[in-house]
Amino acid sequence: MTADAELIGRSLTEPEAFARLFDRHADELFRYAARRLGGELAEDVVGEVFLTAFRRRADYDRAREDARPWLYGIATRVIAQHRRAERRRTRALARLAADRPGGSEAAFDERSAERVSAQQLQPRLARALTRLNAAERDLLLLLAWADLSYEDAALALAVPVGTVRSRLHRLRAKVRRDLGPFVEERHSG
Amino acid sequence: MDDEVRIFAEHRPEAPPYPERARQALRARLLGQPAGRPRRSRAWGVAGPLAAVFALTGVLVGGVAIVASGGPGDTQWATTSDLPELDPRPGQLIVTETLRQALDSATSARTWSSWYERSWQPVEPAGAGLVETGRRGRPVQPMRRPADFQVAPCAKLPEQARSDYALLRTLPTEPAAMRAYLVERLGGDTSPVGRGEIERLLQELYAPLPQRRAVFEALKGWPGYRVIEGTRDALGRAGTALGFEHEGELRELIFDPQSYLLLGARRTLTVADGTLPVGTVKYLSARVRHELVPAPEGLGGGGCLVAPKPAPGSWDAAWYTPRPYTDTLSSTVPPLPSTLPPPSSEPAIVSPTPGPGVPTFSPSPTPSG
Repeated sequence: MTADAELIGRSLTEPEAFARLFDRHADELFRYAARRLGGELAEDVVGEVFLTAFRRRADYDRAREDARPWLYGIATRVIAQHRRAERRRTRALARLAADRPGGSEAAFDERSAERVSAQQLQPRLARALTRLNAAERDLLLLLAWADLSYEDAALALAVPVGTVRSRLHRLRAKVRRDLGPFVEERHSG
Repeated sequence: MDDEVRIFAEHRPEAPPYPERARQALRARLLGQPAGRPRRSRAWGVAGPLAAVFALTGVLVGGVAIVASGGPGDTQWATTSDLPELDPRPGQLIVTETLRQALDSATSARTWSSWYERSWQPVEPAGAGLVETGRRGRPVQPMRRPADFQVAPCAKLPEQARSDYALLRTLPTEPAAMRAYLVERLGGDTSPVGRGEIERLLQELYAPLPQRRAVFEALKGWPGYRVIEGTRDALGRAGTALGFEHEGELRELIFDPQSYLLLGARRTLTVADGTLPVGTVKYLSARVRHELVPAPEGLGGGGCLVAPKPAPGSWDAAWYTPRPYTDTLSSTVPPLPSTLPPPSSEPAIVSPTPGPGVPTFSPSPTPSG
């Protein structure tokens, strides 16, 4: 398969080559944006990401064959313009936990991890997300929902890998405080 | 993956599929084709339709590009005397420098995006060479010395992927035989995309005069090509162009009629594109110069060039290994060995002139040696 970097290089003189980069990554970026902002805003985000990427393609470092970190970096900046919408969405998801019978924190802590369905866990995860700052949330979701490596996440966020690791250390501690029993049970199991 | 991260990965919220309507609308914009408006105009309102990215940034006056900014006005005008005949020998590298300019009308100012590329090609069979790309609007600086490069062992290139001078000088000198060679090299792909590989070879490489003449004559007789006299390249040099039409564009390869060197290329609209009228120039290039320099030691013994390590904080250039241009050719030869240093584990560094809120990556190669 033609490397992303080659498509970007080719698109400098043949802009239609950029459409192939779009074909390759649009679905994945849409799903990522939709998970963070909902489907409606995700359409705007994907549009803006690829428009920006197209305009900036001459600056792309073609030594990096995989363009996903670059695209996710742009997406992160675009999504940051919708922080309020993301907070509203995440809080709405988190409220589902309290609205459900037995959804209180105490009830969760007493519950065995095996009995926690995905449906019940997602609101809990959303609540944990609301307790992270923006930089931590960006990192966690690039790793978990975009499946980026630490190195690729560092590229996307334009920070050193060391910063990724220290940021990850802090956010893991926060998440563990919220999801401790579940995490520990998984770890031991 | 850490458990705390894995929980989130394994319990991602449901995500709807990308609506086909939105996908097609955006894709059409990327292709510069008319399409229905997207669902809402928020993103387009910010960035403008991508078709407008292709809007004209300058005008042509007497065939010479005059642009608002970032165009050839800030470059030195070259003449064909800057492109002398070369006599490449083993132990040398052929360096060619190309100016490329593409329309960039993302802003209302409608400017050109200009950038330089410098190609380093071994005379002997020794890997695929290297290309360095300068930052937008700036020449590639400084000129590298042989000692700046490293040489790493690498596998022998498949014959079909070779582009070294030692091969080029053995290619047919008769047009029909050259045409047969080109068709074979392109894996039978004679589409406009396949012809892009020919442009790449002509622009990045240096072949002897008999082979250059054979390529010109071979293309002249290729279905779809026509001869256009007086076309000017990105440096304003007039030449004899071989052009073909593809997807609403006239794509011209501009040759010096005496030396048959490829001076540059030009793309011009033959069909109005949105607000862009027929005749709008969308792309220009020009070979600025070429020369021979000593190759680093060990290159002729089966080594490959490894890109120099940039100085700390350097933003001079990005490096890449040239690859076959067409998918057909790409699929018929194994992946070319990379001659780039492995990516650094250090972070990408933001360009000194990034756009607001947009990360740009700079090369941060680290020599493997």
